Amino acid sequence: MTVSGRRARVLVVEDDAETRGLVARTLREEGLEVEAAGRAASARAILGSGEVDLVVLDVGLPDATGFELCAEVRAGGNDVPILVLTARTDVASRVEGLETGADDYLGKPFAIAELRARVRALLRRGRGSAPEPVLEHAGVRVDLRRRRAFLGAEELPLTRRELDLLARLVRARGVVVSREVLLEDVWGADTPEAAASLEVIVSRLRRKLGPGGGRSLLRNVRGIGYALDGGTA
Amino acid sequence: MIARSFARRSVAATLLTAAVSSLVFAAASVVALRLLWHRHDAAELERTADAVQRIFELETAEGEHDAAESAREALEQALDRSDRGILRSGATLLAERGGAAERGPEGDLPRGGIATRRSLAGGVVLELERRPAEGLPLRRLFWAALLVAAIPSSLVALAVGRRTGRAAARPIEDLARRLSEVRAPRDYVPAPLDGLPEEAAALEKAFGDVVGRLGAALDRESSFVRNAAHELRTPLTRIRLRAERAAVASTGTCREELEAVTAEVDRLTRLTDALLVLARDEDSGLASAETVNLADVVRASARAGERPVTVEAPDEAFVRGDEELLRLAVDNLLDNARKYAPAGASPSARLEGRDEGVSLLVETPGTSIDAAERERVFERFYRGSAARESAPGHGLGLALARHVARVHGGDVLACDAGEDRTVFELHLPAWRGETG
Repeated sequence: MTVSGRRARVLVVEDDAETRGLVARTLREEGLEVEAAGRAASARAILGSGEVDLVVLDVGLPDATGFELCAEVRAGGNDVPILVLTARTDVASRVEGLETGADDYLGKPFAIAELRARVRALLRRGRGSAPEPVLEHAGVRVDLRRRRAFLGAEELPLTRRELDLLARLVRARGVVVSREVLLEDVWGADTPEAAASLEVIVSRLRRKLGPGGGRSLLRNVRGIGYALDGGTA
Repeated sequence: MIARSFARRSVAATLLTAAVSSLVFAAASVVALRLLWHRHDAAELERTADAVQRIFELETAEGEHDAAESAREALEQALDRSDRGILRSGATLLAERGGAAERGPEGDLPRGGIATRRSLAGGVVLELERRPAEGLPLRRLFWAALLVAAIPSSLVALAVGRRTGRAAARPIEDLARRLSEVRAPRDYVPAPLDGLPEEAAALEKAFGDVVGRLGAALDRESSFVRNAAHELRTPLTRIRLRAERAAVASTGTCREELEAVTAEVDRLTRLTDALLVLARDEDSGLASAETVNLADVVRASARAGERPVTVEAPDEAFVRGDEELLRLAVDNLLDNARKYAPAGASPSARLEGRDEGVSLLVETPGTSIDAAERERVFERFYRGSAARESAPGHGLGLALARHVARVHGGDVLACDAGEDRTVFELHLPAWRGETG
């Protein structure tokens, strides 16, 4: 994959040498340029020295936790996408990861296909897309930290995928988001199953967004994708 | 058998003390009255003697009568009817008054009587006697004194006894109440030792120490399991990566074998997940939760297994929780049904959403659990008699499902479903929206 005309550069930070080597090799086979670091200190050095398009970050490092490094990177004003690899997959650690500024997480052990899909999605999304904690558009508010969504003052009962899809549309602020982008960003892959699931989730979101089928809020742009707006369709 | 409460014991003790002291008071009153009466009589007798002496000496001095007449005159004038008096000169009786009948057989004074004797002028001796006090209301006095003492003292005893007993029991009751609210060692709130009686303070301290040690042991245990599960993930990650990469690079049987290794790694991962979940404290709840459509979870789980499970579920049934954990619980309940349903009988799952909660009924036809085993099946690594004979498994599934449910504020129960089917019910609190 390329970023602005050159090969994308990925930094893999993982303390276990063998896992680090395997992940690096797998990503190189994807056509990415890979740097590897076993400690937070060397990761800092690499981040400071050159252009990195994505960080794949393990939570358990010998000299700091991945969350600490993540928070440090964000505090330094660096908005490079960060994919956290974690042995803990409960909601609490997911939330902790997202709170410290990670863009996505992947539980260990993971399938190579899953790693590839996440890496691709994050590289395509690019910089500056670290999620704001609270997104708001057209009367819909999504609190990503607490994983809650509100229409006006009322909380909406949304599942993870529904919340992610709504958050993606809210972030676009009324601009049409194509089906392909939604599938990549929310499902991580454009597969037939994901496409079928997208239809179901859009229809559920519509129902929850309003008594009139939510049509006024969630707009289907035929053949292109979806947009969330005030109902000027 | 549980003995009487502190308050009742204390009241019994103070009442007994009050009763004994009232009796002593009544008896002392009677004795004191008799003593006073006696002294009063003795003083009166002395005064009578004074009068007899005065009259006798006056009569004698006037010289109108002889000694015997004077004596008779003196006794007649001075003596009370109930007393007896004798005046004698040497062995000669000068005068006598008062019934000799009252003398005892030996001429003694009756018991309790008072006597006085004094020498008068001219070698005359006066002897006076008074019979014992009669008609004194000693019995009535005793009862009256008892009543007067018993009523106020027993009231005070009741009040003081209750207060003392309750005060003694209070720290123990307080400890018991606090302990009854303790679900996990860290819930225990130690009482300030200040102002506690010595014994209660010792009890508090002992409990605090025990709870502290228990908490530390539990923490050590669960952090060990957590660390172990995390440590296992590193080699699992390596194995999975290697197997997957090797599978991609190979063909035929070799590839199949490597894919089977990957599947095994996933199973092992689920087992370590299960251990991680079980190591978590049931009552601590979830640190963080998301909205989960349990209907989707049940449908996905029913599709995933090797045997079909008939699902009857609404489109949506929302709960608040951790989707991965809930999927783990539902998977285990459905897998359990798949494992034990005899060939040809299809297990089923029915999901119902009500106001108060969401309830999933998983039915395994053709099997049943003895009432005696209904709770035991939830023990970790417990495997029922039927399970040991026929089905593979590690005996963690139901324990895990129940644990996950409890972490979410719900529960899993084995229902009483008759002879030819087994029904497990997973109950979870319904999703409640927030405003704001």
